[in-house]
Amino acid sequence: MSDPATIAAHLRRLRDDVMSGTQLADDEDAERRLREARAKRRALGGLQLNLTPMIDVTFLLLVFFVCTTKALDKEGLLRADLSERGGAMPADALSLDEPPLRVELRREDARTRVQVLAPMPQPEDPEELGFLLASRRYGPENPAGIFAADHPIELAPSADAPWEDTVAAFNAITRAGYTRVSFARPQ
Amino acid sequence: MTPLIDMAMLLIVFFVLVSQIGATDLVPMKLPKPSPSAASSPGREPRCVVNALSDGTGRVRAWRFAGVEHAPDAAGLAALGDAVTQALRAQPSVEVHLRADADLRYADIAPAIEMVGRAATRANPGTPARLRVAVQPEPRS
Repeated sequence: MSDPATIAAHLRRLRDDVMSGTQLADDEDAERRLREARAKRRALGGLQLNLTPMIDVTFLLLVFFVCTTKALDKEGLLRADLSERGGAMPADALSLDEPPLRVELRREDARTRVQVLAPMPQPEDPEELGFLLASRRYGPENPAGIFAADHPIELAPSADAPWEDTVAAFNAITRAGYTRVSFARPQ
Repeated sequence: MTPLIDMAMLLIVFFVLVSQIGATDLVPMKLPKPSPSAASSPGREPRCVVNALSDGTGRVRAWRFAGVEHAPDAAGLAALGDAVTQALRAQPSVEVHLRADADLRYADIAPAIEMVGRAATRANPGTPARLRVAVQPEPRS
């Protein structure tokens, strides 16, 4: 066995065995098992995707977006802080009451007319009222203004004035920067 | 287990949203649409909603608050005032949203505005009523 020629012959035989018969038998066995596994999987219906969680999550998102867009995005709000009589709250309880600037809305010839009870040009419509009051508001950018931003303004629509026009006038006064707007009783 | 958890989440979110929408009580109506508008978007403040329901001729048919309708007479307005007072007592920081149809007459809306002011004083003396007038927002450009 110690003869180098014998050892070399033995190794050659071993290598031939590995490369041919034995190895081939192992490969065939592995391939057969793979085919069996595939056939078994096919018999069970293949790889399945569970759709239930996906549908649940889709419904969840759908309900969420439908509800939030309906509830929140479709309305705007105009601020009005009211005192007991429905008027604006005084800025300071100790300050003397200033006479409010009165803005009247009257219904004439199927349209609503705006009148400011102060010696100033009269506006034609609520938009003009906003510009007029903004130009009279006192501030660092307008030192020639007459009324401070917290000067009380009383909005006095007539009984038959539509709510649409009342809100338009209220909106114009708010846009002009005045913070103490009250609603008078209908005339 | 996963579908069960998904379904539970779905139901929780659904009921939370439905209860919020029920509380806000948004009755479909044609709100005023001032332009350009000074209105702000609704925030996350607690709110209660007073709806003025129109009869189609410019008069208030009923007041609706928290799912209950009140007649537009003195007794109905008093009952509405009590309900608003209770809501303000339960949560002083609550905003009162006034939703009224654009075609209604001011004479019909004014008593409700006055009532909200009185209710705030009764519920929390010295605190102004946080009235918010609901309007249609301007279309986004």
